[in-house]
Amino acid sequence: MPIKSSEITPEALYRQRRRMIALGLASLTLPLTSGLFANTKEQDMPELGDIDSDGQGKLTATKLETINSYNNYYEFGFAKTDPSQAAKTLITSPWSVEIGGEGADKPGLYDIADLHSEYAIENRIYRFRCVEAWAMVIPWNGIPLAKVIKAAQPNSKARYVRFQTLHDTQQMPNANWAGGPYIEGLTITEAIHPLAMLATGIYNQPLEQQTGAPIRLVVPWKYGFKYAKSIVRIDLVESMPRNTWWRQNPNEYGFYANVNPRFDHPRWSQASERVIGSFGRQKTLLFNGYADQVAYLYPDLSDRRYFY
Amino acid sequence: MRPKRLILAINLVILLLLLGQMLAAIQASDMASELRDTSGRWASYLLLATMLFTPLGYYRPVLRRYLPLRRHLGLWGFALAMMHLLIWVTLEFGFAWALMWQEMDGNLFIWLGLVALLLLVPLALTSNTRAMRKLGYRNWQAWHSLTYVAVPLALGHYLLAQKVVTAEPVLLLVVLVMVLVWRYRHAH
Repeated sequence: MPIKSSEITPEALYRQRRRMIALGLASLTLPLTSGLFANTKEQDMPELGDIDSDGQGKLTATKLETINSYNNYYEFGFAKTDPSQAAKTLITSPWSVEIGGEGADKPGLYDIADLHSEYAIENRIYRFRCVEAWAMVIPWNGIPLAKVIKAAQPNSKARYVRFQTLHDTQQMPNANWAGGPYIEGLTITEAIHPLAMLATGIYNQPLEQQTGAPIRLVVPWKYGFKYAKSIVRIDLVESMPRNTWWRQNPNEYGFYANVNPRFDHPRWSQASERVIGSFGRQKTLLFNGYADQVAYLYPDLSDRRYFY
Repeated sequence: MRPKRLILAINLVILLLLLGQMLAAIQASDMASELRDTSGRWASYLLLATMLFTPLGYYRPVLRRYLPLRRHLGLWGFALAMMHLLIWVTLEFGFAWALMWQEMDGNLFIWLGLVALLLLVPLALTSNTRAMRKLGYRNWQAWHSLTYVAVPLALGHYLLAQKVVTAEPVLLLVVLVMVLVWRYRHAH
């Protein structure tokens, strides 16, 4: 069955892309004429300078060394510095991602190399906001998630998308911290949103193990724990997947986990964030600054369900 | 080695250890949070250590000769806890009081830490022999039993500040509970 009309990018969103250019989040990397999500070759990515961050003054892309050494990847240990040390031995090539589930009419097994040759790599500079109230600005390289999902030919049962991280007790010293593989999930409309991507690189370098090599989810309007790393399975499913953090602590973490400075974590505030690599704090923005692009997905902005 | 010399040596080891820890923290990707966490962690270790002197001295009377070390550990712990707060105010929040208030509003773990630190202030101020004489030993001891409030609060603060329950604060709390139980049993 082809994609339902409700699952196609709404025209309003299409129009908003021009407004995003005005936001300037991507204007430095992509020529205006090519549109926001136009494909660019890897070597086209220019030097990163200051990025206009819409009302927050200037934001600077976080340094690669910082992005690669300050990580949450509990399968390799709980401390921020653990993954960059312990994950080096994770073998990420060859690697394939299985796409299936009852909602996929055309399931398949994709090698990372196939994905790279099939889809052009796009560059996106996104704000990153961790639920622990720290933030970075990350220049990702990857492919739009929507393209991969549409290739699997979603049917009417494809209401949610479930992502599964590698679970390997041999290679991951802390693989069982959550009692099983790391699971994340999105609604199908979130998953086919043009901002959502499957990243394979940062700063035109392949992802390192600690940042989720070889392929990880990127959903910039949500808290960082939604960005499943080292993905081995993507399933189109009918019922809402129980993501790992929701299962771990349902009072503190839920399914949607959209960034909202007005809904605090039960134990700390989400009103502001620490920018890694610099001092002081900045205010957190609704949907991490992407409200114009994604707010239409969530009819009731006072519903806490959407924001933890 | 004579107790005095050993105490001096232990203080030197602590100083070097803390310097090493701080130097490592400064080189981390996120210096502000590393310094904040390192100072907080070491404050909990040292403050908890001060509570071990009485029970350990009970079983190994020879250790009582090292009692002056308890004061030193307490002062190190207090200094680190102060540093922990100052790093939060300066490096982390850059004196943005409104943001700090938002952070504190309704967040129990910050209040636990703050109250613990406030309780330690009179203890640090009266940690010298002169204050002890002036207060009289009984009064001084009563004041310093505030430790039994401050350290549990500080360790609760540590436990609640983590995203998940981690082993370290739990271990420290286990030691604390053991000390408290021992104390309760040996209360006159």
